Amino acid sequence: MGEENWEKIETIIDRALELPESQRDTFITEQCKGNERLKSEVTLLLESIFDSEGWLDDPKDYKEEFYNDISDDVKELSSQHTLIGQKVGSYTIKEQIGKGGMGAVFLAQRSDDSFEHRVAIKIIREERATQTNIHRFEQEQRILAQLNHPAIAQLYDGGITADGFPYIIMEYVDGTPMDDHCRINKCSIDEIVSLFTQVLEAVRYAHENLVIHRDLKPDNILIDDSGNVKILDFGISKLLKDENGSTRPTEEARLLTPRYAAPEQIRQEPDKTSTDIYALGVVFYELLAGTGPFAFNDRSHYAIEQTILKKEPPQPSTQTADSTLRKKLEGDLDAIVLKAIRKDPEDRYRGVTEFLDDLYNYQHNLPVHARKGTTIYRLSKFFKRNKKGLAIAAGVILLLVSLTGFYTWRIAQERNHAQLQADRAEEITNFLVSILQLNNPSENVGKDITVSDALLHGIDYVEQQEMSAFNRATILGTIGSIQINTGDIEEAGITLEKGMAFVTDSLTEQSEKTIAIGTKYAEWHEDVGNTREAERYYNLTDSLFRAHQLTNTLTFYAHQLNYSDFLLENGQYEKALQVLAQSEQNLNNTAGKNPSLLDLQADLYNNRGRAYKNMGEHRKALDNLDKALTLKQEIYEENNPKIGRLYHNMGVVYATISDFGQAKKMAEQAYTIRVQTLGPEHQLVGSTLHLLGNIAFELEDYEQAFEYNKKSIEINKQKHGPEHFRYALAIREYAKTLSATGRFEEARKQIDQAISIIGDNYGKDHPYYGYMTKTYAEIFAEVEDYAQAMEYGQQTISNFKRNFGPQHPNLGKVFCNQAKYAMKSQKYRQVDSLFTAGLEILELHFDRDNPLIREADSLLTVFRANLP
Amino acid sequence: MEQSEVTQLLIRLKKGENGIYDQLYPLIYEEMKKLAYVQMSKQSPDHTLSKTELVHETYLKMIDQTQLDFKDKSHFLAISSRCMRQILIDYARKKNAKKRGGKKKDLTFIDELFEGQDKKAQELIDIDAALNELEKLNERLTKVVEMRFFGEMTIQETAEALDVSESTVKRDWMKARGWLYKELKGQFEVK
Repeated sequence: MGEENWEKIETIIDRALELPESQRDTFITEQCKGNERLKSEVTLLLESIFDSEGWLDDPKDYKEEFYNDISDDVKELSSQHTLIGQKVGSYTIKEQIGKGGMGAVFLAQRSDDSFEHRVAIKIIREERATQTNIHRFEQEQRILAQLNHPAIAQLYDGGITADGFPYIIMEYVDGTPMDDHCRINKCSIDEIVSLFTQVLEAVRYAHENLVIHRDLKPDNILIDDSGNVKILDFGISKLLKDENGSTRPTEEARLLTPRYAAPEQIRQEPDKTSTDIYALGVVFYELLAGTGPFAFNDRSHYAIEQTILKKEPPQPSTQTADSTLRKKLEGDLDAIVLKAIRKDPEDRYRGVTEFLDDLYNYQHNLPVHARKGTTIYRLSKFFKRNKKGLAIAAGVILLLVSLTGFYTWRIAQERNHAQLQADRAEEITNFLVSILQLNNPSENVGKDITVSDALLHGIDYVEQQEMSAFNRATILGTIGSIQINTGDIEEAGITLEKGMAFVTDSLTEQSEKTIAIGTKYAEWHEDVGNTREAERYYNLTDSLFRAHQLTNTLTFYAHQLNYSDFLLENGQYEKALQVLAQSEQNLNNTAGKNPSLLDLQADLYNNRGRAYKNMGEHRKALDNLDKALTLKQEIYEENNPKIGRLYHNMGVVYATISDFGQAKKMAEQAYTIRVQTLGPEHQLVGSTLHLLGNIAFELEDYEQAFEYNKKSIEINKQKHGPEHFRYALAIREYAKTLSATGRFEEARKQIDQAISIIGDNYGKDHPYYGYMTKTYAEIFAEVEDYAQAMEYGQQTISNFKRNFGPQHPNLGKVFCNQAKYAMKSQKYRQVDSLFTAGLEILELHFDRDNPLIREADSLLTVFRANLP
Repeated sequence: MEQSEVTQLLIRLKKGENGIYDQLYPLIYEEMKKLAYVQMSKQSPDHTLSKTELVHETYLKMIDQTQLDFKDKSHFLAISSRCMRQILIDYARKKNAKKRGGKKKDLTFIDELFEGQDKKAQELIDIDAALNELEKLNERLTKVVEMRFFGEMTIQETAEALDVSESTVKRDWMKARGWLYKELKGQFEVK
């Protein structure tokens, strides 16, 4: 999302907020003038504004933890270890063995010492022990105490300590978390399955007694020295619910361990037995595959939640590089695990018994129920998303085209791997066939098959079938790009994410094609306005290219071009230069470049030029633009819009440094080329005319200026409409010329119109508004109304300071103008400091012989010499 | 640091003298942290969440009010709001780091249940990161959030500090909140 776009969004939102709800939609549609992306961003933000009402209203919610922690620190300092040695019931506390937000866990021993009996005591911190909670707590605790199962850690007793803290006395278990146990003992798949069966039996027992665990995870499932399962903390979380039986949302969220949390827990829906089944599925997944279904490291809470809610987990077998293990997991175990962790609770095992049955089937080589549902489940999911009205034929042709490209590339790359090549060719053929099969009417009665469906079917195929990770990744990347083109933006994100997961997690070899998925994915994030993620993936992709030494490829340069475009859009000019440094170095060392490589190289130079221009390093900007131009001229005829663009850009830079002679030359070339190649009415022609008008004005060729101004106004009005900022900027140029030729009243009329358009669109804080007030000042100065001129000048100064920062050349120019007005109106006290301020800034950006600097310098010298 | 010295610094800041902000910021930051501890040790356990409102407390503590007017106050509060943001984020990061540092123990009881407790800490870190993004789009929106949310400044104080109208502050707050919400929460649509 570019900043210009954002300002537009804000302006529309500001005004929409003031309208009655019924008029907002029409207003927004009108304002966005068919720009669908703008409209959807505006609508999304507006919805979000209403959805978020009340959110962040009470900062205390957020500061509470901070204050609590401080007060804990303070308390701890004053009363450390006071509980050790105290008696709780008939037990004496020996030592602290754990500590958490809600309190601490202690190892305690029976006081009479008649026999050695060790227990764990959990003491709950006082904040939670309200009167209403205590009743509930006791009731729940009685229910839990009745759970008697060898694989469930026994809850013995509970109560309130003498000082009023609730406590629970539990069986002390000396054991190892299940995942560590399996790792340490290198358990085989069969051993894991039978151990896990024990866990399921214990959970089934609890469920039959109407107790849900709600927080199952390996840390809560211990294996003791004799190899027996012991599940801790059964139902404990429910103890902490308040009177009406439901925890408050904030608490609810606190009780979750996201890794094992089911989608319905994220959505804060009531827990059912299916919630435990989900957690068990994840635990089982981890035990089998050695890693969980999703990688959560360093991801934001939001991203984790979205993953749990939306992302389909890969099959466990795809997570391992060990081929024996993979073979073992493929089929039954894959299906069983995935059935347990379906997003919709209805789609999971209906109870632990069913889960156990399927494991029994697996152990005894009987057909596993979970497998039956798989294909239908997935297909039906994809069909649910069927939206687009594109014909299947179009989709298949599109796919064929893109896949053929990648297929021939394969052949070229893999010449030495004939067998591999044959395998892959077959995989891709099968893939294409699978897509075409969707067109079989018997399979899809009464449905319009769309390209979107075909793509989703393709994804399904890729996920289901035996296929190399390399091909999977490449096909997913291709499908994701096509989905962007077909407008299936949301799906494209999911597909690219999957493709990207292969690239980062599974592939040992990479190609340009696979790494380029990262660029696509970053672009996707950029398109949906997710700047942070976009940057992350651009960055990641950049390093992948480097790590695999693929920085000397077309794809890498194309990536760099996109990445630097992104950075320039986001105002990160220096970073853009850093990024571009790599390709520049490589390209300089590359001999025998083909035209497409040269073209990219020129675009990279152009981006460097843009970066330098924005940083105020105009010489370097020109240098780079010139290099870009030379290269483009090697590939294209002079009469090409790509060359026109570079002339135009150079014209802008020359005008910025007041070299209007050069600026004119460049802009005229750009104009000729653009008119010839794009036609005289094109908006880019309008933009060059605007530039030409400005140059003619500065060169005091007002007749020419008028001509350019008028044409530019015409085109801008026609192309962008009479309320567009470009139109306003064009009439401002016209107002300047009018004023310079003594037509004050007309100039006023034009600038009044321009400022009202800008004001309506962006408000007074926008830099364009500053340009307008600057022109006002100039117009008033022209008729020697210096008081007015200085007032507008002052407004401009504060606007520019805010928008461009205190050192921008624009600000320097305004300071110098202001100094001139002060001099003319005999406000001598201000003159010196205004000139000095202006010069200080200008000297940062321009050479000493810049006309602006020369003029200001000499005026200042004269002024000082004439002081009394 | 004497009250009067801080007050003088603030007056010099207002006059536009360079480098004053960099002097004031760490002073306020340190004072706020100190005050937080002092406040909390004075409170009885039941009142941990009473009216402790650090930003304004810090103002009362550090500034000689006889020398300053309402507008100056809002400028001080604006700096303090930024400090508050910093303090909370520092704390949230420390808390998260601690959590990541402590590797798995052999024995875990229900304490582990409450690992999720630093959800707010995580949320603060997320909000902070998102604010840095928002700043690139419109710095003022970020400032409004800083003042209204972290600094608990009133709409009037915020408007004063930013030199904009109160209705602009209200609109900015809505836009910023909507944007942050969109970034952080998204839509929970699941099909």
